[in-house]
Amino acid sequence: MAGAKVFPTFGCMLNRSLPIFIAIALSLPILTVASSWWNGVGYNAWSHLINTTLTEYMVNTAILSAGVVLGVIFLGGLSAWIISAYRFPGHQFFNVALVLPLSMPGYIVAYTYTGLLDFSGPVQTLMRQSFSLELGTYYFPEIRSIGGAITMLSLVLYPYVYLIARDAFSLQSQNLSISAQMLGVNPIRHFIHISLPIARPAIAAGTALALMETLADYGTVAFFGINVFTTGIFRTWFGLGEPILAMQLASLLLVGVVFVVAYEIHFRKKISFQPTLSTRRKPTKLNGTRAISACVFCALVFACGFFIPFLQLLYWTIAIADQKLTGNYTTLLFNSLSLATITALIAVSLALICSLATRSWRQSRLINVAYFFTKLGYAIPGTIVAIGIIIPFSKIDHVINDWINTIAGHAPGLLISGTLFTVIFAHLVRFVPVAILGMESGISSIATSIDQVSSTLGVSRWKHLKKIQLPILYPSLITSFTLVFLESIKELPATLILRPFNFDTLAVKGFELATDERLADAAPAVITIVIIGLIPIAILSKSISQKYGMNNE
Amino acid sequence: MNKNQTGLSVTTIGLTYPSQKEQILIEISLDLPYGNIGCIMGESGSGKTTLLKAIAGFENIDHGEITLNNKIISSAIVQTPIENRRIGFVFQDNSLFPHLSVKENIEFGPKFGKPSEKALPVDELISILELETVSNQLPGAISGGQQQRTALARAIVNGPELLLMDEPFASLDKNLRENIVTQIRSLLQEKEITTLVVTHDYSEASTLGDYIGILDQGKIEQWDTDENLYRNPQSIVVAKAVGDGTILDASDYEKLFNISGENSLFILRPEDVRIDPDGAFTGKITNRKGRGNNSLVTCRINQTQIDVELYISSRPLPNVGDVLSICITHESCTPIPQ
Repeated sequence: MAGAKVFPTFGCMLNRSLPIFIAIALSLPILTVASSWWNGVGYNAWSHLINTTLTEYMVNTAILSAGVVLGVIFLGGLSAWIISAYRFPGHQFFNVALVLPLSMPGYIVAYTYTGLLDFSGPVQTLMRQSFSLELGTYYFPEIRSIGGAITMLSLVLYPYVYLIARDAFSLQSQNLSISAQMLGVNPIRHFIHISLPIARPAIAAGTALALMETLADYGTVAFFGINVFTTGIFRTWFGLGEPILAMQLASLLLVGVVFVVAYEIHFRKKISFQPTLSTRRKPTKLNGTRAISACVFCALVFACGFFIPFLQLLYWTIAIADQKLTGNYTTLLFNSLSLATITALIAVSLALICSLATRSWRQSRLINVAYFFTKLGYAIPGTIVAIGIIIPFSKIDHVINDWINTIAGHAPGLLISGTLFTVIFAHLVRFVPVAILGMESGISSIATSIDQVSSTLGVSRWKHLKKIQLPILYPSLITSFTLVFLESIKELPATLILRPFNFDTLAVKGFELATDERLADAAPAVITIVIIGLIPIAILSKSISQKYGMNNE
Repeated sequence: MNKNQTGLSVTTIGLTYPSQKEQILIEISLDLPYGNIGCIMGESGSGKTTLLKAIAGFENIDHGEITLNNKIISSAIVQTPIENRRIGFVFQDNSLFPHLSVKENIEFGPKFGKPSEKALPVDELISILELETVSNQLPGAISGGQQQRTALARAIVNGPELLLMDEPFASLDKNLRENIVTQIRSLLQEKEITTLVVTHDYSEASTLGDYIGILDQGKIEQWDTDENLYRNPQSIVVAKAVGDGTILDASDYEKLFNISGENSLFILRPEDVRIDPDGAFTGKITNRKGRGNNSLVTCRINQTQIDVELYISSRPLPNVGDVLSICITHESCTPIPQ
């Protein structure tokens, strides 16, 4: 039988067990959460949960997910269609600007809109002053509600749909458009009956990404006080003191996440239409009212998703923020930057090992399964990752303490849990998949034959890695580093739970100040996250386009 | 080594991919003398590239044996590592290292690969292959033909004992292809490099190859010289692959010549059918291809349903529907073994 041929890549230098070991290590939270059922089912705790809040968690999670799905499809799908199918004043600006909300974590948008739309915020204050209204004499939608959370998350997550759908619409064949036009089909019917069905897999894949982020969100829902699975897990653990129950609850959410991941993979595979440049549909130039309508819609989406929150943050930072925070700011910035840098360096190295090993051992089912689990981490909510790490790490700490206590007569205290190592480990679980995503297009651009050429020339694997693979992968390594760096800077729930005593990051401090109703004081920290997030937005945009085999250039 | 000795010998090899049940290569055998050029032709999916990969060592064979200059490099038991086989490989897409210049690509093997006594001077190769003007440029900045020559130089610079080329000229236009094929043949003959080339183009194979093999559904139908393939094809697949012609079955043969066809098939090449006013057959032209010196005309012989092909160079060219008087003899029909 023709065996799986070993190509001379760096992956071959490594024992097959290394990527499997990485996968097992990074799957630790999943294994911990899944293994919680082996500890038995606490019937009392479960019946308490079922009788009290479980239904609320499930219903709210379902409503939140459904609402965000509809929201991102509406905002992302429609803006993608307008940008790809039409040309109007400001088109070029909005083409890029509509991606910018990706740099805003949901919880940051939630803070700013709460500051703007709360009873004491400028909008309601202006309304009351202008129309001489009193409290209780007028209706104003409550921002701290599930509807508010849906709106906030939709505003920052729609770019996932926008990016993928925009490319899918742009790449549709010109001939389809001409054929429809010749049959007398008007633009709206063309959109509904032709463009939309063809772009459906792309929209579905983008929606799945947004759904993953929604299920993983903690900051927005916690700030708005909405009981969903992520906040429920947090409360069950810290409020009720039931870590096993919290893990069992987390495992239910994990099942949902796995379904969403499978759904995303399913639809991503279906995105395969790639007509040549010459046959791409030519956009229609809009004039008059239609041009103004398109422009206003894009402007509204951009303003609500990015510009207004950004202006609000800028105002708070410059005009109102407590200057006492400034001294602390340098430490926060240093902590965030160093945590993100260390995480990004390790994540890129692990991603490189996993990607090259999988490429080398592509016919090994075990390696492919390991690769799948390594990549699953991104979809796992930070809360679950934190729970899944802290429990086994504390057990290891206890074992070490008991052992040293027996030998030396004193316990050294927590050596692993409660240290920065735990935070970095949690970030790696979530962001090694991001590094792999950033590297995928680069890895796939190295044809197998490039490796084979080196082997026929008798070039060693190490030299092939150093002289051929790494130089070719260099841009992808930079992309991966930047993406992980950005995600790590923004990360909130896992850092919040696992950080060592007296170690705060910009995201954590921002969240703490915001939950203390010191929204303006939180602004310097959160605007820093947004500004740092703006830098790699172009890279992220390109990376997502490449992942789905499209390029809008 | 001399040209009478076998360079590459493939003996009854079989290959199956683990993910597929059917054999990709079935009992393949061929002998290529040292310093000669062999070409493998076949339809897409016939196993051409897989055969090259098996010889190079990228795929393991199930059974059989591959020897290179009388040393076993692949069998069910022996698998010489790829880097120790001393084989050069030119891929269809060139697979040039995109971040290295033309010269750096060529000298990559001598610099970082296994040292070889037979290594060719890099500058000489650059000069022979007329790459001096682009030697410092990146592969993306040079033409398809220059890329192809760079890939060839890189593959032979270490003085390989065998050169394998997988459809190396497929992406080049016709004129460029003809020039480069001639140029490369001269170089390979001069350096006495045993070479096996996969192609789907018969004219390329006949210009380049001393031997040509026709591969069909994983089996070698015939491995022979160009002339033998054309004149004595051993199967219909071979007869059709190497040129135009009419396949006649036994009943057609009997109908035309009143001689028993003995249950054979025959190939009647167009050049063996002549226009002759005194010819024994008349027929109506049903199709005509080309306007050059040799227009290929299909003619349906009267009172039969038999279509024969012939070349016409006389002017004015006859049109579809015209009636021709033609001469065919049974000696010009070559039997094809079944």
